[in-house]
Amino acid sequence: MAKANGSGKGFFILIAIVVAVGGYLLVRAGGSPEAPELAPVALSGGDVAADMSSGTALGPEDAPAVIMEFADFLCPHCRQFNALSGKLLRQNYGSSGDMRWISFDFPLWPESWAPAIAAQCAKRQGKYWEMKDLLYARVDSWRRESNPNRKFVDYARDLGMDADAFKSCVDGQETLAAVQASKAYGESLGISSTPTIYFNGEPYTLTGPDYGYGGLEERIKAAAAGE
Amino acid sequence: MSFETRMRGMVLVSLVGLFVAVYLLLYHLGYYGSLVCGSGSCEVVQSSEYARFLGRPVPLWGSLWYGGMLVLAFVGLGPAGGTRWLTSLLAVGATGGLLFSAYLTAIELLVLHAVCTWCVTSAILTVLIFVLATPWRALRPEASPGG
Repeated sequence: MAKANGSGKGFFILIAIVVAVGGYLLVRAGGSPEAPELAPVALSGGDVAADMSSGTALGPEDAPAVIMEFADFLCPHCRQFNALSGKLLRQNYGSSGDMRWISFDFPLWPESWAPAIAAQCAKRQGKYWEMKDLLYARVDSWRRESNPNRKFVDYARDLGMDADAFKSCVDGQETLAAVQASKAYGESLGISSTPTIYFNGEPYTLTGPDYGYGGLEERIKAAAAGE
Repeated sequence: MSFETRMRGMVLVSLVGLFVAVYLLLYHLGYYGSLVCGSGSCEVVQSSEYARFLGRPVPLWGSLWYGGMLVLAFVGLGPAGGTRWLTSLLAVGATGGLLFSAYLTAIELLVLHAVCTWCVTSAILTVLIFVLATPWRALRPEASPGG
């Protein structure tokens, strides 16, 4: 009896330990909500003209379905949209000839400019989409950095890019004007939140747990069929 | 191994699995920006189309499955321990979980060519639950609560 009680007590102690450790790790994984101190970057404004060509395009110019995406790398819903919808649509239809995807970097917060500049620097080496996916996927590892460029250079290395050229680009903010033009274009359309999606020039509302994948896919297919 | 010992083991393993599944689910829901993955390719796997099943994140189904097995294991420690219906439920649950886990692992290896550390962990836990549930006992004419 005593042994049974002892083993029963030991069992519940084990459960308590698992719950305590598991709970602690889950909370710890959430991280700190405080905004990080980042390297200062210029904000939008000034004499930058709204420029539709400031977007980064995938797919042919004469594609029947044109999707425009305005997003911010620190925006959680933008990350979900990219992971669950955008990235998959580009994978499935990007080379089909039926769809043209134009991505506009639309930084809403001061801390969002650094990753946008990094994405444009990656574009110079033909790795915009890969860098975009990495920036979203690893947001929690760079958003707390005082100088996230160091992380971005690591990502460039992971993507097989010329890390020195990339580092020079991000540290010198060489693509700032491109991001400013992209932002200005979105502002000229009256955009004030992200993600904002346009389908063939019309605003498209993202709905459903798939972040609009199903609906956008239907429209792509319909456009390709000439409907 | 006695039935009680197996059920206790299943409680602990299911609890660990539940935390793993909830962690991945919270990542899918956007509460975590990235996964702690070591040398694996967690983000490649978790952001693929195969990370959703019937329109819902796979970790949601995992959380429900681990939660269900946890409940059954606790029930097994009570008066219903060893009963035919419980043994059958454990068999069905454990076998179903093992088959789905095998499917996901095959997808990682053969389609995605990427391995998520947490998925491997969950697969191992699923195998442990399967072994502890001893579903083959449900095929016997009368299920025995003995080890």
